Amino acid sequence: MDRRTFLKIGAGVVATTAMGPLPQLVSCLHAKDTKASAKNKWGMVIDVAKCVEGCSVCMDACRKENNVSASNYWIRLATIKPKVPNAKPQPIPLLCNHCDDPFCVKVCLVKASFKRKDGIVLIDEHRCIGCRYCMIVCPYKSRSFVFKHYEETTNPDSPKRQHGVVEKCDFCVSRIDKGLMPACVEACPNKAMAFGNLNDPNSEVAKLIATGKAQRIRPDLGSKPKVYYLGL
Amino acid sequence: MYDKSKIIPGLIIFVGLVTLPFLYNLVTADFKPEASLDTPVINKMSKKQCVRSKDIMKTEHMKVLHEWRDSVVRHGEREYGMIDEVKYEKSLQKTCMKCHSNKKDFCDRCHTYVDVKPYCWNCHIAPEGK
Repeated sequence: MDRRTFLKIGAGVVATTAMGPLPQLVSCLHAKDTKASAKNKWGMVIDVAKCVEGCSVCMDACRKENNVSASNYWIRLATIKPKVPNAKPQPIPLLCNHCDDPFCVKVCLVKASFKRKDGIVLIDEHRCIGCRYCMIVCPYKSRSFVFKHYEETTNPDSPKRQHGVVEKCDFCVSRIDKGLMPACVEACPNKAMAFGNLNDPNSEVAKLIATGKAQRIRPDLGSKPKVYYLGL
Repeated sequence: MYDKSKIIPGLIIFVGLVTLPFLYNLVTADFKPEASLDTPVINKMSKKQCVRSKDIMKTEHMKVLHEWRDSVVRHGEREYGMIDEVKYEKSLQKTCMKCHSNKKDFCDRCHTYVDVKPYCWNCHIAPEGK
């Protein structure tokens, strides 16, 4: 065998071995569509004009559904001040905005914070080490740290809140997977909150946003929040 | 040999003392933790079966739970599938503990024996009762 043939055969063998893992690589790139499908993009529209002063039904429902302790919150009453002259402070119910480009996910050291394919930003509390970077970076201050183990359970289907991890609104993800609405949306007596698929133009939220009156809080930061407000 | 009558019994006593812990274990170490399957739900089952075979569950249940955890939390895949026309959800609390409602006699017996402390129950609610 002369040198040329040897090199040719060698190159052929190397090329065929390299092709071996190719199908695996391709299947990795095209990950299968899971239950949390990218077809959905969950979002919320809150009509602040329908909010009654002193009402805390959504917040109570959230605590009850998710076993949140009294010192923490997943949805809270915040006061914002629009950046226009002579604007008066506006109280709004503020929850995790489930940003499309979430800062909290970017900073998480252990990949405990992540965005599901359907756009819900979650914390894998099995993995969270409690460093609280995400709390610093969240523009909405919608995350809180569990300083004390919370034993009380109002909803036995939801886990207890363990000391040492960060917690926040998860859009009641276990309810969404079952086809239900988040607890706050369901509880609101004035139907001020609407929840649905932003990708579906026929959904209630998409229609409300299409009116052009819905505003987001601090979209200028670039995290693309998915909670919209009407009547600000 | 000088002092034969003292040295040989002394040696025997010495060897006996040194090997005493081993001998003691030989006699008493037949205790093996046995996970109890005596719960109302399991007793009612006509064909006793788990989501996977007994051998797999015995050695790999932690891996099964980890797979379930990741697929539920990360991908929202909550359904495990059908076994004999019964639908199973991927859930420690709602699937495993529904049958194995005797945490003390099922989980804890082996976990205590091998001294592992899984953190499942920090958050997930253990079933009351038997």
